Amino acid sequence: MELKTIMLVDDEPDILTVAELALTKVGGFDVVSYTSSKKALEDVTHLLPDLIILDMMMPNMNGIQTLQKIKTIKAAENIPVIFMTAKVQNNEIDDYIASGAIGVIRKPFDPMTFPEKVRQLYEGCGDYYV
Amino acid sequence: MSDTDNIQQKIDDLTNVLLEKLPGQLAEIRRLFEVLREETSPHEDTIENMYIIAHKYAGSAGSFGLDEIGQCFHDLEQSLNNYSGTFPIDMNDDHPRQIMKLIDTTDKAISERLHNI
Repeated sequence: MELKTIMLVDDEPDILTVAELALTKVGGFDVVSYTSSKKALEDVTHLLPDLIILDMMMPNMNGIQTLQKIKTIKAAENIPVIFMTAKVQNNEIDDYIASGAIGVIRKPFDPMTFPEKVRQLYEGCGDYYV
Repeated sequence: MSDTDNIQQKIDDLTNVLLEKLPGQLAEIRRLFEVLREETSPHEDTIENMYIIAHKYAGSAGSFGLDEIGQCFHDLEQSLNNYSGTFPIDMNDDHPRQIMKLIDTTDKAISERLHNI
């Protein structure tokens, strides 16, 4: 399925702003942004995005916990999820993938190449940690 | 102006907004560091709060092209994450001195970038 709509969740407004700008203006995607996993979970069945991008380190509910919640929602359980995270160890990346994510994008990211990385992960091309 | 130029201009504007926030955020890290020198305080919470700020700006500064500042915050984040010294901190110990030095280095990187706007 062609990637059109993306749900983006990050508690850091600066990152959310630049990521949304990159995904919409550079990537041409439709993006709905959230600073809270809780609100994103409330809306996910209504929006049914093609892809969900989750920041890993968020207060109250981190990326893996949010993904686990998504997997319990019947209508949303098959929506692919990508994590965004700062530099981490390789074994942590393996844990993230084992939790059900299709890929991991490292922060910081270049806004001009970020959308292409997202598209490649969505399409299953190349490495799962970009 | 092309679409790419337009997008880059917006990113540059957002970068300047972020850059202007950084001295205040680093000042908060410095304030929390001083709290760690006090006899009685919730030290683990304090160092965790310093770590959260450093982690946040390690990710965001780099994504706005502020690579050197992002690296400084990342180094600070790593040092705070690995802290295994005693509380209250003793400035004769290596690790607290390293943290102080990293705060100063980050401060210098921010100041230099602000002067170049």
